[in-house]
Amino acid sequence: MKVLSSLLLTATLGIAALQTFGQADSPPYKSPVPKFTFGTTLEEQEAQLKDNPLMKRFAESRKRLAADRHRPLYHFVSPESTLNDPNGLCFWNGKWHLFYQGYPPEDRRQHWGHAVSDDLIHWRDLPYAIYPSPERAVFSGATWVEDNRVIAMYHGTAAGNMVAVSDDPLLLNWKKLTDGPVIPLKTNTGFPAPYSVFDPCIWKKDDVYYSLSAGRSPMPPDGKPFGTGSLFRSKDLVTWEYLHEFVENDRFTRIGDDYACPYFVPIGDRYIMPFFSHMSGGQYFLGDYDKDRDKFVVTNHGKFNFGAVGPSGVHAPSATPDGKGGVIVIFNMNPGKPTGEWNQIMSLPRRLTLVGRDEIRQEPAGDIESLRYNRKTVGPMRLPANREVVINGVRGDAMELAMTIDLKESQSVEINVLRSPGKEEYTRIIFYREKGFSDGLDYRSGDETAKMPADLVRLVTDKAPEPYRRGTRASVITIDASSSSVLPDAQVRPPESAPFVLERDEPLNLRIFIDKSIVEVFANGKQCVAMRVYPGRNDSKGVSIRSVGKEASLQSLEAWQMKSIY
Amino acid sequence: MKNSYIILGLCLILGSTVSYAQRDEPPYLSPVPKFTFGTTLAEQEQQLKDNPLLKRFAESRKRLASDPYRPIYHFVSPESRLNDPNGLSYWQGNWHLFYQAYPPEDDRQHWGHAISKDLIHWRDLPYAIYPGPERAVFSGTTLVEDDRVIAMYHGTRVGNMVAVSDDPLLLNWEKVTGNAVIPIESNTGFPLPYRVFDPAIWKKDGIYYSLSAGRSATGPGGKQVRANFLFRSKDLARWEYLHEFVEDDRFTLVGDDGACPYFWPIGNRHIMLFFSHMSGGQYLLGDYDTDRDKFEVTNHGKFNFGAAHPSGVHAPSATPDGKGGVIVIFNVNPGKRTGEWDQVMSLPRRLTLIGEDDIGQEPAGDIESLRYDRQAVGPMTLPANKEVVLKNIKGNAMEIMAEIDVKDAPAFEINVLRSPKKEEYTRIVFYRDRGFNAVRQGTSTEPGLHNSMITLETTHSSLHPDVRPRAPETASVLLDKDEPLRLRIFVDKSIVEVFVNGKQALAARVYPSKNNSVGVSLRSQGKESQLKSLEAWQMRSIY
Repeated sequence: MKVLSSLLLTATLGIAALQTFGQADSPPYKSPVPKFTFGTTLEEQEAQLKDNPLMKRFAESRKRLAADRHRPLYHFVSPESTLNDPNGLCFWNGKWHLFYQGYPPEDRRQHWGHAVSDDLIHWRDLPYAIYPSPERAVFSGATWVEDNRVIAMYHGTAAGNMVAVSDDPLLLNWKKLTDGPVIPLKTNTGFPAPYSVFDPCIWKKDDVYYSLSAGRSPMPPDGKPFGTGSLFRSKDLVTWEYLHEFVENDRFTRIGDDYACPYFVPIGDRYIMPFFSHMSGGQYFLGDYDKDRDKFVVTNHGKFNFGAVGPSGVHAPSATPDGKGGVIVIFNMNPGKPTGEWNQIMSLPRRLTLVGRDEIRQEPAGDIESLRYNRKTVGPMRLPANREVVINGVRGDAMELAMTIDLKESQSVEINVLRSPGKEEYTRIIFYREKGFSDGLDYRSGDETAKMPADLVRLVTDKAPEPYRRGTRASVITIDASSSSVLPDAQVRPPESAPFVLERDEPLNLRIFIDKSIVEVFANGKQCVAMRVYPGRNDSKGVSIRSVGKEASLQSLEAWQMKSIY
Repeated sequence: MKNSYIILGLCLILGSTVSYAQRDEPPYLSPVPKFTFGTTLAEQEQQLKDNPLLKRFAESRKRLASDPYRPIYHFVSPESRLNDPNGLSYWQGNWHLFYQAYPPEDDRQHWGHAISKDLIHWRDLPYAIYPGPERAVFSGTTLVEDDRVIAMYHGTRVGNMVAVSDDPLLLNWEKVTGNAVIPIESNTGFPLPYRVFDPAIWKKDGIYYSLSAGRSATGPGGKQVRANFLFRSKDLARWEYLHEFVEDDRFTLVGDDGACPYFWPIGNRHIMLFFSHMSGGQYLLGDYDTDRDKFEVTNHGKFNFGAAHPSGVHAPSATPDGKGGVIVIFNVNPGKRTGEWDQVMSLPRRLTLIGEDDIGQEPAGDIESLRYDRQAVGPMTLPANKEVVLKNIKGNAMEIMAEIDVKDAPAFEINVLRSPKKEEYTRIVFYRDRGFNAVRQGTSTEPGLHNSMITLETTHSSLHPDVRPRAPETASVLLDKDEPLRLRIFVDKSIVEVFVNGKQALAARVYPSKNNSVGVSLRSQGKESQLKSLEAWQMRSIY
């Protein structure tokens, strides 16, 4: 367990190197960052925020950093310093609250940063919400919204899992429930804990609180490390009883994955557990919550990141129900280039919904459309085979592109964005029709098949081909950043390919969000791939489309410049 | 047929099923000429000289050789199509390669047959196993004993079959019992607790063991996951079902199956190579618990890093090399219609155990004997962001061997089959340390040690409208801290194979349409790299 926690610790600290800060780095780990207590009415709070020194400092920092050409305009970035995991996303008192791993410049231990939004797009900075002590650093966690308060449960390093509560209008004042962790890192029995104590999430069922604690444990085969989610319960948030491993039937994650930053929320009539693997990034389990046995019976799994966690990949989720059966999720995105005092950013928020019994849809969430201006449209137009068509008049590095393409007989279409006129730099988005996995060989026996694999029946019987079966074979969407930047310090992420099923008569619908150093691609509301890119040339703003092998038809393309949210 | 191409994993792929009316019912006899050979090598060689099938094969080879996409140093069947390799083995001084063949006059699978002294140059022999009583002779493996070779394979409509041969060239095969030894139909009225499909066979303590491939609905939500059912027999004729063989499989995907299994020792451990109709050729590495008759797996690797189709590595056939390693060969799927033939075999590879839990992969056999017209480049510095086209190195039947110190370059790219204006090119891109952090049993390896990634991308390989591009295929390879990138790239008309530092290999079919798509270029992304050496050879035809 020690090896494990030190490993996780190292991984989480990752890119933001820990600076020394003298006497603070020993118990009680007090923070030198200015801390304020706010009134309990909205009016009082707004008045106090007006003159708040932290708010002033944030505004100045934002202004200074805005000059960086790789700093996004319409994705959330922390006002100062770096950020890491989003935490405790929730809706309270008419506002969306986003917390995140903040690293104040004068004390680079994690504090919970805090921002609020009415539309999930425009964010307003608030002072740091949770400060260290007694824990060394305020690591990741989730929130649980009750009628009269919000409960945050998070990992406090060198202590254990912590509970803090807030009940004021803007969630400015947080009170830690006890002087120490509610689930300590160390047992008091002298025996090793049968669970791991790390990133928690929290929910309530029948007046009892439940909490998952993330981890990774040696398991078969051969004692290799696999993800674990230790389930606890409590009646009072203070005393917690360990129950058992929560996740059942994980045939999906790989050796080396862990279940960090877990969230457990209903989606449709099922449950989803978004989480983060320090090896393979953001992902989720879909399944059913067996409330009698207190088990999460997993039936499916999906990824938000289709490669290694870094560089430039989708990192940890923070998720909360949207009140309409869906789930809002936001991720931090890892950096792929040094950019001075800041580096990571948040993804656009996404809305996840359940489709059918076992699939998840993903669409941009919030009022992203409010940012659009200077609309350009192209098409319908023919996309000739093997010819790159540069789209005149559509240029930008803070844009949304929405396009519908009928591939016709073509098997693949390639879109380049952030493309320089001489093509020294370009970021590729490539669609491959039905080039992903099929359902595999169906070994079911049938009366007519003489117990042959059903897929082989035609071979054996000369029967007419089966009609095309829905959802038989996935298509693939790829982002390739290998030519995105000529800069020597821009790290390159290998191509990231994600599967989704495009029906036979369904055109390809892409929404591509480009924002300085991030490209996010939503494909038919069914899949999303995102990565950081760092063009080095000022003219890397073009867009082109190419149909591979055969001609395709661009049915429509709309492009908007996007306003800054800052 | 297009639909079936999408739906089917196996066998049917691009060809069409020839109808052959009255033959398609029991006893399913084949109209393909069949011969019985003598029992001495001298007799056999004499008979082969005038064998009508061999004449037909030679003529067919000659005719098909003009196809610009037909490889010249990879094995391709002499006539018609091929599918899975089967029963790779070494017997009386020859390597024997069998394969799923589709004789032109009867498009049901027969076992094709070729032999080689060096695993590179292959000599066609007549079809080895013909249908009847099975409808088609599906895939299987062989077990070599002192005095005979045992083939165990799936016979469609009947079940798993055993055939034996003991003559010098394995020309005459006799089916044990004349029927399925593991029938596909239950005789109890109850459903079978196992699937009857592609088998593997081996022997332990005088007892034969066999795997039967399949899936079971034991995955999450009752979804299908890989299953390999173990049987045993004392006489090859009567088989007892034991249990699912593999333990602790946390590696294969939901939807995978364990088709075309092979189970062999490698070093002091065991390897099960198999084919998933969903995700292609792959292996499980582990330990054979001979007391419990279980295979406890500890690691897994892939030979195909995407879907099986199109253009991907398909099924393995494997056999021990007698020196602790395993020789394996694969069929590689087509990505374009090429008339009466379509699939090809990969180069044979030699797998070895590296350390406790990793597998090394190198080209096997005397591939060097094919080299001629050597060209060398370097050492030279490759400037950042500039594609360097190599002047004297051109070809579409080549080996390229290169050693590159990528230094801090974020990516390094080699293009092959590149046309001068770059309308067509096949990309091989290396990303140092951009894979998952390396994980070992229970603990981490050196902190910060990451896998590197290598991509084979064929999106721009061809302008041809009929080519089905494959999504980029990216494989992970763990290089030591100061280990330079060492590539061996084999280009052969419509196949590109890339071996990386003896630790990883990727392969895909490509179909350049331009005659001048023969160039090679190098590019270092972001920062300069050092090309330490590059050698290139033209490769002779093995035919």
